[in-house]
Amino acid sequence: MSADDELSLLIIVLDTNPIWWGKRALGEAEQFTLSKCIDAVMVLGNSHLLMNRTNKLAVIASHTQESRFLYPGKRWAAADPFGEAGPSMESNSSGSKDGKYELLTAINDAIAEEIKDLMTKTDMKGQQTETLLAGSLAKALCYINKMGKDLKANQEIKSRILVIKAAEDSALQYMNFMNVIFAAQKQSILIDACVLDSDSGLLQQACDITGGIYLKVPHMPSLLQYLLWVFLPDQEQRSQLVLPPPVHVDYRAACFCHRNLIEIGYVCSVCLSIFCNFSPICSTCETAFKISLPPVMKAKKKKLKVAA
Amino acid sequence: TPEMSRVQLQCKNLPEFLRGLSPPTLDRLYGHPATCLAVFRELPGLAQAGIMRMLFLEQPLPQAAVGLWVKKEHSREQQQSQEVLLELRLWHPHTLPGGLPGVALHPNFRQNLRVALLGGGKAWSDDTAPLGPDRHARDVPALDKYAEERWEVVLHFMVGSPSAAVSQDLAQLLVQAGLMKSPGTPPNPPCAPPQARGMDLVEILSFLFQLSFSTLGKDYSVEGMSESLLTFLQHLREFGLVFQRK
Repeated sequence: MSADDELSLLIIVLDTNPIWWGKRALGEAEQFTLSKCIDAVMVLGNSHLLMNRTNKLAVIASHTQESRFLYPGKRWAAADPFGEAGPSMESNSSGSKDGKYELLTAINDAIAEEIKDLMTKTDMKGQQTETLLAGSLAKALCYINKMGKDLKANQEIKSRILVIKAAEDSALQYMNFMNVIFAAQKQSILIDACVLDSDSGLLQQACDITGGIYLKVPHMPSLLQYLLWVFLPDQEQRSQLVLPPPVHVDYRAACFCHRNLIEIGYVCSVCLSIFCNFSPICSTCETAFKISLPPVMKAKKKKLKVAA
Repeated sequence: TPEMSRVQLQCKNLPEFLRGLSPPTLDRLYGHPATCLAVFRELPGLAQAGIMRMLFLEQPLPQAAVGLWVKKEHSREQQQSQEVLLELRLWHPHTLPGGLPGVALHPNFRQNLRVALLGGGKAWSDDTAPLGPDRHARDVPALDKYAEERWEVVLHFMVGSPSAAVSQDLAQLLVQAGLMKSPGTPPNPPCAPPQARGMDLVEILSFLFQLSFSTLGKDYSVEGMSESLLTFLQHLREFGLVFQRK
């Protein structure tokens, strides 16, 4: 199959948890800011687009209040500078002011605009402190699905999602997360994980189940080098390169009542919900379980068959 | 009777074509981001991965380290991709301080691929904003129609249709490229190089690559283009590849 027939789509899901990034900005001497992280993400995205004319990219910011497409974002769709309908008058005069490939300039500028808007104009409502990662991944899957529908007759698309994780896992999202992982696996979509801080059990499972790569970055300021060495190569190149080996995965499920990880629990035989403590009614599907006592032994007269 | 040798058109792909150029020409060719971008895209996957790994390293890498990149069972593909890189002079052996063998990226290529990727350096062409909006702008369907019309004329000319007319310059070009024969003359050896026509190969190739990364329907400035480049632009216009606004 020629290169033109197989599209490679990379979706980068970036954890922009403002609380985590905010704490970092206050702390460390070696300033690894969200800005620097976005720079590295943009270089990775640009590099992916550089490899092949048919490569495609999307970038999603995973925040505590929303999941937002940084590219192609709402502004990008509105301006439609390179759309099929033809360039608009205004965008016709915009281009690279320097030697950067103009498509990359347009995309990088769009990402910068959207992330600035997201981080500066978002109201922090309620007590939400956790990154909406499951939702972001679901949006990524929907985007992949949409791209799959827009293909021409003999084209195929290979997709993968790279999650760049900052804040801790959210136990509340366990179920949605697992659903997303299994949906990805069914669609042969790889989920890669590049973890900046604490290990993520959920992402380890995601990588293991979908065949992606899990890497906890030893040195955050060197993020770009890890992205280019490990996560840039596509599926075909990965089969040929020596890459970080799989990690030991913690496959404990989380109970539905407390979201604690348990090794032994009670499973509803109707809906397969998992509980750490026994309950006569399943809180998910409301099935009532009759607890049957052991049968009372009645003395029975057994008829003996006499061999003829 | 004179031997009528069949003139064979050699259609080379980009890497093959580049391999035929002299090292100084290649070095100069890698002086433009668009060229580096075009060459990079034509490389096999492992070669691309190798370049991306080295692009941001400030020092040459030990050959031994490069040898560890690829799994043993794929060492043949690695061998092939390294050969391509060497032939195109994209990387070369470089002895590290201490005497160990190493490899380094071609400095022009490295610099200009970085520019194409990250920015900096000179713009590929001038900003068209000062020229104002185009009142007679052609949209994509109109451009497609224009290209088809021009191409039809060239094809008709090549099959000897009397009604089709192209410029003297283009007619000569087609003959020199070995795509057409002037009646009565023996077949030419294929492809007189542009240098013979007083044109700079590097300049033309760089422009051609720039064009290949341009956006359909978008305006670009011809400000500052040399005479030979403007002539080349006219050829492209006749083939229907570009549309020039007065």
